[in-house]
Amino acid sequence: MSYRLKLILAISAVSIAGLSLFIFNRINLIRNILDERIHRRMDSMGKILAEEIADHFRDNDMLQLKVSLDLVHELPTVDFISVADSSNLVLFSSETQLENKKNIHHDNLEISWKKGAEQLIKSYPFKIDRDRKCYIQIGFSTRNTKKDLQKAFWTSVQFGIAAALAIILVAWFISGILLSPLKEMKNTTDKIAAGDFSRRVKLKKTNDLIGMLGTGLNNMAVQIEDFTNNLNRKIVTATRDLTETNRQLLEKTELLEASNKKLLELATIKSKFLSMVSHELRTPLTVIKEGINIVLDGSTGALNEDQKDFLSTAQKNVDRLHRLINDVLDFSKLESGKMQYNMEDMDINKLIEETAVSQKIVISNKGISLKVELDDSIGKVKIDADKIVQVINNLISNAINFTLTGLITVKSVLNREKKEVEIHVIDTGVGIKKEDLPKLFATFQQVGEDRYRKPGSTGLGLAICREIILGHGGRIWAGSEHGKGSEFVFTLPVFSKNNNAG
Amino acid sequence: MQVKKHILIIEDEQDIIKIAAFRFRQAGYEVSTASDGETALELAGSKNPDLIILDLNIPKITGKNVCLRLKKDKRFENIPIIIMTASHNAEVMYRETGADDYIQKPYEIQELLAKVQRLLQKIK
Repeated sequence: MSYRLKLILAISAVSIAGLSLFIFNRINLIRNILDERIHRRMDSMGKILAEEIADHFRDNDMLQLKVSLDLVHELPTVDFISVADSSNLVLFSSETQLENKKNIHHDNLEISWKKGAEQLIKSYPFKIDRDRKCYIQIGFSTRNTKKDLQKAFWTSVQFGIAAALAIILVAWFISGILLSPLKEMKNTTDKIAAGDFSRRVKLKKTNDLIGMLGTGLNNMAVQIEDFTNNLNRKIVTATRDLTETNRQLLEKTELLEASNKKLLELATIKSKFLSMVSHELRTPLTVIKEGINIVLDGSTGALNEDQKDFLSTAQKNVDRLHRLINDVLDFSKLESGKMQYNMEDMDINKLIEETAVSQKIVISNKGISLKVELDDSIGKVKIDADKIVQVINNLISNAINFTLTGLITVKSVLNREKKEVEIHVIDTGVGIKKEDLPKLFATFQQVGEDRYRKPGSTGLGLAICREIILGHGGRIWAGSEHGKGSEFVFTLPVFSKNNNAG
Repeated sequence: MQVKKHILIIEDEQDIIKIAAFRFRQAGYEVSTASDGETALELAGSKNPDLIILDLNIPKITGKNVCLRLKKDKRFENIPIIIMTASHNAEVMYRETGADDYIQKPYEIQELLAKVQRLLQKIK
C-alpha cells in the first residue's frame, strides 16, 4: 500500500470517525428536542382540553363535549381520546378505540412513553365539582415523530456520506500537498543517483522538518557534486600528466633507440674506420720505412755523415709513427673487447728475463743499472706471452724514461695466499705526485701533462697495460714517492696446483 | 753455384713490390711479382716458385682464396706461403688462410728474411 494511500486512509478514517460521532450526537439531540417538544405540545393541549371538557361537564353540555372530543380526535397526532372518572369508569371514548381503552389504568398520570412505541398515552386530571375528579386520557400518535427522526437520520447519513467523500477528496489533496516535497526529493535523489549531481531539491519552505530534510539532501548533493568534480578534475589532471609522461617516455625511448642505433652504427663505422686506417697507414709506412732503411744501410751506395744523420732522424720518427699507430689500434681493439688472447702455459720468469735483457743496452747507455729478482717457486702461468711482454716492456720503458740515475729493479713474487704472481717494476726516478697516481692508467693521460711529458709517447701505454692485465684477470697499480721513484705492480692469477710447490 | 731460389711476391701496391723485390734480389733470390689474384695463380703454375709472399688485400681473387686454392692443389701444396698484411688483425687473418707464416706491415726486413730462410730450409 502506497504511503499516500495510507495517508489518505488515515486522514479519512479520523475525519469520518469524528463526523460519525458528531452525527450520532446530533441525532440524539434532535430526538431529545423532538421528545420535549411533543411532551410540551401534548401537555398544553391536554391541559386546555381538560379545562374545556371540565367546563362542558359543568355546563352538562354533552353535545359541545362531543364536538370538542371529536375535534381533538380528528387531529392527526391523536389516536384516541377518552374520559374516565376516578373509579376508572369510562365516561367517554372515541369509538374506534373504545374497547382497547377499557383496560387502561387511568390513575397513572405519568407519561407511559415507551421508546420505539408508536403511541404515547397521557392522562390529565380535571374536576367537575369539588368531589368529582375525572381524567382525560389521550393516545398521541408518535408515528410522525418517528418518521421525522428517520428522515433526519437518513439526511444525516446522506450528509455523512457526502462529507466522507468530500473528506477523502480533501485528504487526497492534502496528502498531495504534504507529499509533494517528498516526491520532489525522491525525483531529485533518483536523478542524483543516476549521475546528475547538479540536481537540487526545489524547496518552498526550509524551516519545517521536510524543508530541513530537503536542505540536508541538497547539502549532501553539493558535497557529492564537489567531491565528484574534484575527483574528476584530479583524474583529468592525472590522466593528462600520465599521457604527457607516457608521450615523453615514448619520445625518450625513440630518442634512445635512435641514439642506440646511431651508436651501433658508429661502432661499426669505428671498427671499419680503424681497419681502413690501419691498412692505409701501414702500407705507406712500410714503403717509407723500408725506403729509408735501404738507403741508410748502404745498399744503394755509401752515405756521408749528414745524409746518415738526417736519414736516421727520419727512421726514428718513422718508428715513432709506427708505435703510435700500433698503440692507437691496440687500444681501440682492447677497449672494444675485440682483442683476442692466445693463452698458453708460459714460464713467466723466462719472459721477464728475456724482456729485461732486450732493454739492457738502452739501460746501460743511459748510465743506470738493472736488477732482476725472480721467485723460483713460480711455475708456468697461463698468459698471452706477446701481450704480457708488451706490458713488461712498457713498464720498463717508462722506468728508463723517468730515471736519470740509479737502479731499475724487475722482480717476480708468488703470492700463495691470493694465488697470483706479482710482477714489480721499481725505479729510482722522479716519481709521481700522490694526486697524479689515480690518473696514471686513464686513456691519453700523460700525468701532470708537462711534468712527466716525454716526446714520442702516445699517452696510451699504461691504459693498454691496464686493459691487457684486466683481460688476463689480473690487477695493476702504482705506488710512488715523489722524487724518490715509483713502483708499478701487476698480478696474474695462478690456477695450476704446481705453482704452489716450493 | 747454387741455383737461386724463386720467390713470388703477390701484392697490389707497386711501391711495396718495388722495395720488397729489391731486398729479396739483394739477398740473392729470384723474384716474380703479381698484382692480382688471377695473375698470381697463373704465375704459381708457370714460374714454379719456391716460396710465395702473399698480400691478402688484392683484386680479382682475394689473397685468402688464392692461398686456400694453392694449398688444396697437389701441385702447390708444398710451396710455403707467407702472408704479408697491413691489417691490424694480421694474426687472426693468417690463421684463416692455412698459410705457413705471416708478417705484418711495416715489417722489419731482417725478420722477413729470417722467416723466408727458415721455411725454405724446412722443405729441403
